[in-house]
Formats: sequence, structure tokens, C-alpha cells
Amino acid sequence: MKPSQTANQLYIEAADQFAYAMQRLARATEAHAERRRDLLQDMHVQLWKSLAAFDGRCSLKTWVYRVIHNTAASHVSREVRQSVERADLVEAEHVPDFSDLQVMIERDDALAKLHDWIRKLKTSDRQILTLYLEDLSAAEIADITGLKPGAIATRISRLKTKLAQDFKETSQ
Amino acid sequence: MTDHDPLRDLWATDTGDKFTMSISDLTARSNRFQSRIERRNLTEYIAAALVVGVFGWLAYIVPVWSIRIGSLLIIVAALYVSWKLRQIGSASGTPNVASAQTLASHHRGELVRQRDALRSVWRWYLLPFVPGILVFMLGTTLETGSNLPIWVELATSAVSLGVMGGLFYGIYALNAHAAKKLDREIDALDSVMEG
Repeated sequence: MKPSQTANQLYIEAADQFAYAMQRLARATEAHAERRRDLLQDMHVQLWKSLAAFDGRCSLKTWVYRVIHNTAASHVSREVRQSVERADLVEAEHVPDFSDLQVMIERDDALAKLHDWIRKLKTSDRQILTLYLEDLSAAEIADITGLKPGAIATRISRLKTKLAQDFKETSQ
Repeated sequence: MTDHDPLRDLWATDTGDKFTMSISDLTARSNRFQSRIERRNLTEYIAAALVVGVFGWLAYIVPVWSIRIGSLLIIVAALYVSWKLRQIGSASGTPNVASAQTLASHHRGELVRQRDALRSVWRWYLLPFVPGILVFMLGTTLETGSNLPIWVELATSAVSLGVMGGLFYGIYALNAHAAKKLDREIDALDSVMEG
């Protein structure tokens, strides 16, 4: 299906509005610079193509986040098939080397280390946490993921606790 | 959840140069992706053509009926697998568009697709070659005019068949194990989706 003029226009608007969200998601998904650029380009192509079928039944924001996260998830599946092991949240052994949240924020490489931590999460946890970090509410995240808002809030709370705990443990 | 969170502040500082793609860039990349799929299909067709060529040539030059029949069965299997690959490729890859389904539905769909592929692959990728290989091997053992006693030839065939059977069973067992693991993941996802 070739995107129409309307879809092209919609893409230009969406790409402008969500460009940084896509870049952040690509960084939180793929560590390797070249593969990250490929992923980012794939997100743009998939978004552009998908918008030909956009019917307004959900908001553009919801649509964009669904498409880019699904593209990122497919990318991770391909990488996993190519022998890149990803640890489960509870099994993550390697944690960033910094003491606590405040210290982390003060460090120049804090973002890189946060990305590193997020990349080790399993796909659904990574999706929920990155959507939360994009300033989306539990209801919006529920709409994008298809999970219940209560389950989202619980998962975010658990992830934040785990994050803080990992930082604390490495500082001791 | 709406409380101020320093993590969100940190996250929002991650901007840098805005990455954009023009419509012509998007079209070019999309076409490249399509070309990759066409190249992959071509490789599969070349592999099938090689099997047809080699075993067709054997069936033509070797005047042993069991080897001829075995070769023809292998050719039929290669053509069937090639057709099946094309059928699967066109069923799963036509739109080449990431879905705007909810993330959980998309993830579930991927898990189901992988599980079904693992469960069925041995049936349509390996099993079709078995009759041809069996007939071909028996033909080479029994009808090539070797001076060895028949029991030695049969024992050699039995060992070869055992190794091949073990290999096929190993592939089947590994796939079945991986499919079961995916089944558990699907069940876990279903229970989360049901809330």
C-alpha cells in the first residue's frame, strides 16, 4: 500500500512531533550505533507506511507509539534470534555503576547508563518504562499497550523500585 | 504517577539533533527492504534449482531404478518446500507494515507465529525429503554391485539411517521444546492481558 498525500502530510507532522520520542526509544532499545540508526529509519518507514491505514479510531499519539514500539519489539526479536541474550528484569545481574538517583542525574553519562539499564529489561517492561518516561499517564499507556491501567501502575512502581534498588546495591 | 519524577526530567534532556527523513528517503529505504526480500527468495529458488539439477542429472545418468525414483522424490520434495516457503513468505510479509495493534496484541501475535512455525517446520521442511532419501540410500546400498556381504551393506545402511533419524528427531525435539516455552509465555501474557 503506497501512502497517499494525506498520509505523507500526516507523517511529516507526526515525525516532527515525535522525532525525539523515536530517537529516545531507539537509544533505549539498541546499543550498537549502526543498528540503532537502522532501527530509527525502520521506525520512520513503518510509521509512514502505517499512516496510510490511519482511520482516527485512536489518537495520532497512540498510533505513533504503537507503531514505533512494535517496530522496536520486532527489532529486538530479530536481535535475540541472532544470539543477543537479554536478561529478564529479575535476573538482571549487571547493573550500572552509580550510587543513587541524585548522583545519577548529576553524572554526564547518566543517560547512557539509564539506557543501558533499560535495554536489559524484557520487552514489555522496557515498553512500559519508556512510555512512562515520555510523560504518558497510566491510562494512555494502557491504551497503547492493551494492559489494564492498574497493572501498568503496579509495573511502573515495581520497575522504579528495582531501579532504585539496583543503584543502591551497586553503591554499597 | 503524576508526581514530579527526576527520572522523567533526565529522560527529557535526551534530545540532540532531530532525525528526519524525506519522503524520497522513505521510499528508497522501503524499496531496499523489498529488494532484500526478493534477493532472499531468489537464493531459495537457486537452492531448489541446484537440488533439481543435481538429482535430475543423477536420475538421468544412473541406470538404477531405486536411485532414479529416490532422486525424483527428492526433486518433488525440493519443489514442494520451495512452494511452501513462497506461500509462507507471501502470507506473512505482504504488507511489510508494523501494526498499530496494542503492544500486547502485537507481541502475542509474534509469539503465536513463532510457536506455530517451530511446531510445523519439521513437517513441511524436513519430512518431505525423507521418502526420497530413504529410497536413494537403499538404492545406493543394494544395487551398486558392491562385493561386500549383504548384511554388512544393510548394517551400514542401518547406521546411516539411524544417524539421519537421530538428527531429524533432534531437530524435532528442540523445536517442540522451544514451542512449549513460547506456549508458557503466551499463557503468561494472556493472564496479564486479562488483568
